[in-house]
Amino acid sequence: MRSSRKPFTWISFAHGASVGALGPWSAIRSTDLIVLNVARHYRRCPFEPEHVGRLNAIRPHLARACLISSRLSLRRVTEATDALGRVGIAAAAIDFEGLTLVENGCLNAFMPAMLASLRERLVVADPRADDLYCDAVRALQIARVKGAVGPFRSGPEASSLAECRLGMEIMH
Amino acid sequence: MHWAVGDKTIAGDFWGSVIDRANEAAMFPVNWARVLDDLTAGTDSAFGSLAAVDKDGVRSVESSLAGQLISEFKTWGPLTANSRLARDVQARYHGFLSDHDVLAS
Repeated sequence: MRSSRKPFTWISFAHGASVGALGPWSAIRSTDLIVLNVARHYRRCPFEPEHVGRLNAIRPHLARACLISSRLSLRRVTEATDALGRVGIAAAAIDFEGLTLVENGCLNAFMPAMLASLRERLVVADPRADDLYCDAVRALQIARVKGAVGPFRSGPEASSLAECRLGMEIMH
Repeated sequence: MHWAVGDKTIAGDFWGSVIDRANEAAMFPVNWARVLDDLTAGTDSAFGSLAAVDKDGVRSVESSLAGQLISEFKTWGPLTANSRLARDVQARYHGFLSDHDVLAS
């Protein structure tokens, strides 16, 4: 258990857990912040200058692609839920933590009888149904850790949703 | 163009392909996994990840091993902002930073 007084950062975690050292970071800043990193075992660090230089050489290309991808992905999710809403199907997109990213107006018709809340986490009014929903989200999280879901296994549509997930920690 | 990577030589075409795939990933996010795999291979690393923060929230994609690492990382509780990293990001706007750079700064 880590000390509560010791500063807790991604790097300290990576080193302390002996999982490996964090590799090069990239901060591509405009109105967005994008971080791309590669990692290797701590014993094989620091990264050789030629590796850092090589990533720096293609950095403008990565930055441009990252920025476009970042701007488009949430728009696609929003458009998908809006499209479902236009044909009368209630839909929301959630991240792997179960937090609501976007929802369409049709879901409002289910409140408060069926849905207790759409703020942050989607809460089903019936406790038993909500338990089932939470179990499903947890199963999704477990499957993701095992690599059974997510951008590496899913199609492009699912990928857009799968990309919208935690990551704030890595920004610090 | 050829670059030396340790004892190996990787053809410039490899990095050209990485750029091509990154451009494809801009439109088809599922391809970021392949880009991360390429960057991992090209830098002799174990895994890679990509995270983006904008006004609409945070999104990330990573290799499965990095996913496990981040999941465990989350269980450790709230973060302390790394002031050294923030300072170095400000100072070296146009490049990659290694953790060695951060810790040695």
